[in-house]
Amino acid sequence: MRRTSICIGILFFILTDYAWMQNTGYDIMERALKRSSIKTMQADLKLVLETRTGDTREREIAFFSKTDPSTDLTKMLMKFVYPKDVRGTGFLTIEHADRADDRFLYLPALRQIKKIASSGSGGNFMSSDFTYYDIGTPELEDWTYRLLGEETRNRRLSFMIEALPKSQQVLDETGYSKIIRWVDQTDLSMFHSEYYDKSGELKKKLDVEKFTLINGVPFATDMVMQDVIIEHTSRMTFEDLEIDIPISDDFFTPRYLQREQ
Amino acid sequence: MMQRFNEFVLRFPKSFILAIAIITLGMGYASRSIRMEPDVTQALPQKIPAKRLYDKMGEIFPSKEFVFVGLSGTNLFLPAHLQTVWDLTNKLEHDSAVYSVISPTNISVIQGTSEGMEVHDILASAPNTDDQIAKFKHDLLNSDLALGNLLAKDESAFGIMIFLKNTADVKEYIKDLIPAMDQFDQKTDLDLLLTGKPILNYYVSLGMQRDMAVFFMSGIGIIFILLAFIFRNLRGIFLPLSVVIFAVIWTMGAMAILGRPMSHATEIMPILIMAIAVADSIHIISHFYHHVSLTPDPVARTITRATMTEMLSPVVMTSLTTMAGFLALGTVGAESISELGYFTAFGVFSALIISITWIPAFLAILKIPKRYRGKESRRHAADWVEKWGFFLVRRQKWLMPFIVLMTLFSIWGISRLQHSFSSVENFPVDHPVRFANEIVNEHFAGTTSFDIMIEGREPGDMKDPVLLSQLDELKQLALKIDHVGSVQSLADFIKRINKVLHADDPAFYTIPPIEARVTGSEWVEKNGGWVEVSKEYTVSGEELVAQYLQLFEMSGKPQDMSNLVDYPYRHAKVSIMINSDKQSTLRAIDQELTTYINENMNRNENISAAITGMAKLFLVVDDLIVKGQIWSILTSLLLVWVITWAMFRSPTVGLFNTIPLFFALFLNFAFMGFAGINLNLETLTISSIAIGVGVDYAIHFVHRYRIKLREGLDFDAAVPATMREAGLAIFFNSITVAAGFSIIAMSQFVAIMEMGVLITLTMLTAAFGALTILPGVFLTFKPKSLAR
Repeated sequence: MRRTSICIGILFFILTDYAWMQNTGYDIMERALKRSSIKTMQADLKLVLETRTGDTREREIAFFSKTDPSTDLTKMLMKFVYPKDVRGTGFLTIEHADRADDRFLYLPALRQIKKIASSGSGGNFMSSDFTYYDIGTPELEDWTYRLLGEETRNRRLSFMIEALPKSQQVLDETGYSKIIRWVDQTDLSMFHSEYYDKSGELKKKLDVEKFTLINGVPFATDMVMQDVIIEHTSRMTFEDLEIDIPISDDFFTPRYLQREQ
Repeated sequence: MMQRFNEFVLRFPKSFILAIAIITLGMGYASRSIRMEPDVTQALPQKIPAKRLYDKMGEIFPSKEFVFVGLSGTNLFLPAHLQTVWDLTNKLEHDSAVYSVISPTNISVIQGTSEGMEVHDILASAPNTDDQIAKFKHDLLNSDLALGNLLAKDESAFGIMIFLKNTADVKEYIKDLIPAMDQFDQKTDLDLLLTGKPILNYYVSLGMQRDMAVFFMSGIGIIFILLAFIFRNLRGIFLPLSVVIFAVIWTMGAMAILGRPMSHATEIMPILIMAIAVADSIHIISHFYHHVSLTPDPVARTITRATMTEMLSPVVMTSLTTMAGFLALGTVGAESISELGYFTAFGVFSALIISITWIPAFLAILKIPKRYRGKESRRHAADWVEKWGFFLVRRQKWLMPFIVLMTLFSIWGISRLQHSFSSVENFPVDHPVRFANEIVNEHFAGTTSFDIMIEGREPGDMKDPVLLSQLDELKQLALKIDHVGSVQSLADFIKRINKVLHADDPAFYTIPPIEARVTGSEWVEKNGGWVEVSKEYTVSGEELVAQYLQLFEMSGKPQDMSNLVDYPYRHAKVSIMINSDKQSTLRAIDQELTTYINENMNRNENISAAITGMAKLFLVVDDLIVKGQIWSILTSLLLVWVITWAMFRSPTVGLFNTIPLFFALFLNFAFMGFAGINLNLETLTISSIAIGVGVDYAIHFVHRYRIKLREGLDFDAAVPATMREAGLAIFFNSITVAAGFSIIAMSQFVAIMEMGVLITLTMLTAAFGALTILPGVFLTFKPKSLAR
């Protein structure tokens, strides 16, 4: 699996004063993706999935992650808080540099930890419209960029940047043949993205509806991803987001997964 | 009043011509937006619970229709063939009309391992090596999925199911799919077959377009020839022809304005209107020429006035009775049949309006050609009909035994009558759809389905282990019934996950009980370290189910499940594939399922379960056919009786008019019984049409016979006299209408073709009844009410 730092990487950026000397797509994306390295993160994550007919499914998940700054490898632990009948169900993912990720599952009803072996891209995050790739930091160098122009969208003057996969591997792993991103010219926030599938059709649209400043860094804390093909929407909201608080390595072990919280 | 109407038309003939022309142009413009609706089940009214449930199912679940693609060949598990299936699956998945594609190459494999579980797509790319192929085959056969529609029983074919979104423009999708599949077929050694309801509907729609074009063109052709033969002049041809074409245009315009589509039933409407409408114009124009021939120095306006004075009343009356017959189709309860009734009645009414304005207006302003003056024809034919009258009088003792014999013979035939509705069998035997359907039904789980909708009172009700066990029990029960190809429900997913989480132990391929004992583990601190110790627990089955579902949501394909349970877990669906569309088979399955549901699920007051799905709707259509048949016959007879009662001012005389109809109907059903023609939606319409149109012959006969009795002739002498004056008109009228209706037999659809044969036959027997049975009854019983 491609190295993706799963710490909601694309969704935050640094506010800096830029002198717009040269606005190539690559430059803009480079600046937009540049960020301070985050070591740990903790949040209450709320997922609302909605079908075309308006049926919804709500999930609340306690989310923890820790990234080793030297290797850029991430450990991530998630525990269901709501709904009640799945409360305590947990997932633990540990990235390795040289082999496939370790993934563990804990079902409180079975009181057993199961190791999940999976191949492929890992698919969608918690059966939402966000893929693991979508919520990870995109590798700047995986894509070639082109500045399509400027557009005022949602009353924000923005750059429209097209990203095309550099290799077949990137295409296969992400499933995207093209991504168009709208980057705000004042704060470089990527507040809207459109994803095209392998056949070149528009597949999904992402809207960031809220940014929250944490330690001076704005995070996308409310996002809506809409799959235009299956007409399905996922809203992901972060509450009580905390950055770089100390979390012990012990926390990211199967034993902790099983512990009542 | 009728006289005043005639005067009004004759005073402003040009205005009437202009008005009719303008209305026709307007209706013609409106009719361009008319739609086609090939789906028979769309014709079911909302008051039928199974239909309501079917529509509700479409709102709750994202996809209810699928196209089935079969790929057959020898030795399927070859790299080239698997590449084909892989490519085709990828191609099919990328279409905005498609909700999901279920193919042997794209399923997810979830397997238990000693440490936990393994989740992966069955293939990452098309398999090439022997090892890859062997693994693929192993994974496919051991996936615990309902394989019935993915791999033929004898491994002679793969199957791909394309689930279409309920919001998709299915017709457009199919229109593009068929040529794309043909192209694909040529590139591969595998044979491609397409079937499923959307495909059937598409071909029905093509057949309808073809039929309507054929009907219309042949209708015009036959009417043209007939008119040329009868009148041998331009106005005799083009006036009636314009009446029938205008009446059809008005009706199509009215349908378009009301937003009603042409359906499998209404496709015969234009030809019905044409055949019926032409008769009135022929009557009017032949009377006109009859008057011309009798008048030494004819003036067009005067002759027209005389003609219309005589003809307006019978034309209006016969149109009214015809309309009554068609309106009675409204009682059938299938919307397309009701619409056929209403709109044909409207067409007949339009024809009436046009006949009594457009025709006299033209006749009044056109000059009468010299060659028609003082010429009376057809005396020879009238002699023959008169002779038939004398024959009946001579042999009157034989008539009653003949009637009794015919009746007994008919009852014998009727007792052999069957009813059946099958959309596939409606196609010609050599149609590709029929072939594909046969192959698919033989090798796969089937393309017709019963769907059981289960509705809970609260969100989450579908997670109840008791209910899930019942779903599983229902599956086992259903699979024992003949022609049940596969059953899929939420229970399958729970069982699968339960097994996977117990290291693939087949003993756990079950629904967890209400209270489950599980062996779990606990971490305890020991000697300063943490160790895991095994411990037994009791957990609620409901909690287990909830967590299994959560796990499946995250590891499988959400689309796999979303067609079986909704998001709030309040509605679930059991999908039962049937590889037959025989009524008797479907009915037997329906009964077993209903019994199980009512004795189990519906005992729980929080749950309500009911059956719907295409198979159920087919049964409902069939029920309507039988019930609708009886009702429409009774209603049309009653309407006709009331109208003729009012016309002849006598209930008894009114009743006489229905006698030839009984005769015609008896013979029709007997013929169907002997010929093995099933009662179905199309043949259902015959009785009402026969009654509405056929009563005209009786009316003409009774009307004239009464005049003859009043003129002082006795019952015997009145028969040949009536024959001479009315018999020929009845004979020609029935030949005309029968010729028109016989065009329907040119349909591509078996049921409509049969209907065309039957309706033609019925027109002839109704006329025969009026010219034989009716005089027979009068001669035998000599009813006094006639002479009054």
